[in-house]
Amino acid sequence: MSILLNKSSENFQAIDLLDSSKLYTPGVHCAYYSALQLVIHYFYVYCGISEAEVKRDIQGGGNSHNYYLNKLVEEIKELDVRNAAQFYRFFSIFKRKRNEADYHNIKIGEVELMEAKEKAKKVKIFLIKACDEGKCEDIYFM
Amino acid sequence: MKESAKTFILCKLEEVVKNLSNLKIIYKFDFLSNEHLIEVLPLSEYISNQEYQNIESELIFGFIKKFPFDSIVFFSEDDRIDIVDPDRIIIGTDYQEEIEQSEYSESQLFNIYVDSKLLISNFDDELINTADPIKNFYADIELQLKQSKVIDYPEFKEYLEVTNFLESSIFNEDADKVWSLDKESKDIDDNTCTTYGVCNNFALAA
Repeated sequence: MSILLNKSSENFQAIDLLDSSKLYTPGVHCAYYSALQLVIHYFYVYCGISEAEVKRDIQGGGNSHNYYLNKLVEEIKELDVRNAAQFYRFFSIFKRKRNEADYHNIKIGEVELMEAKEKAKKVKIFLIKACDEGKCEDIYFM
Repeated sequence: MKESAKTFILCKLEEVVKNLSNLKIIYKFDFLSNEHLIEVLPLSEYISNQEYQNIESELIFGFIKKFPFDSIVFFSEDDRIDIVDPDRIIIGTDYQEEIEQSEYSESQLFNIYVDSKLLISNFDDELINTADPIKNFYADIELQLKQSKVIDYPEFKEYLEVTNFLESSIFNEDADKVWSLDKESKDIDDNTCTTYGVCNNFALAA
């Protein structure tokens, strides 16, 4: 298993641990990073861009999360345009929610954490199917 | 750089509303997170209008190719993302706010039957065929049940009827959706609504 996949799995497992301690905001954080690490893993596997190239591209101060996601979605688009767009829509909302959880003055509870966990799960299923099995499905129905 | 991304998006959004005049689009660039937030209304168009979705796809792919470090977030009202102090609001000439109460007749009620092991819901066929928000409704109920959470879907409160499964004549094969609760879930007794707080939220208990 790649190190990134392992990190993603650890972050996913941390969700329940944080939930049981009622630490909901860091739980949302872990759920998002669990999904992002999968995006980065598949980015390196399928986009044909080396780490050195990524560093060079991002050096100018660009947002690395967006870069990984945007490049990967462009790859998935070759498989299925509609579902690649749906995935982008889904993930960008997830990213926004995590941003609100971490930086906005809003309360994060168990419901928000479970929503984030469910989103992380869907991202994983989508990426495995799309990138490993070549089957792109609507993420909203997973 | 940011301004040109913003200009690119606003130009496209103006075109979208020109072509689909029943839409309202609210835009804001959040410079703290580097996100272009785009709320699309009404929800039904955002979810089920294929023509809109095709245009959104084109916009997404055009945008990420041109601006690979930026983020564009399309959402609608059920995503519970607030835009405070928007940069632009574009309203189509045929845009009408969705008034849920007038959309569904009394015969188009959601019926959810619950016993201690199963939650079975029976949805009106016509409603299923005509209203795509139902897909989200399914997913939302399923998610919240899996988590043994109180069902909270206020948008649908006027159209949901909750009935104790034991008192109904509906069987599994008649249901459109059946969800099993896992063994860890809290027990639901005959007074299911109270246990889950469903009645309180939906105010339409049988």
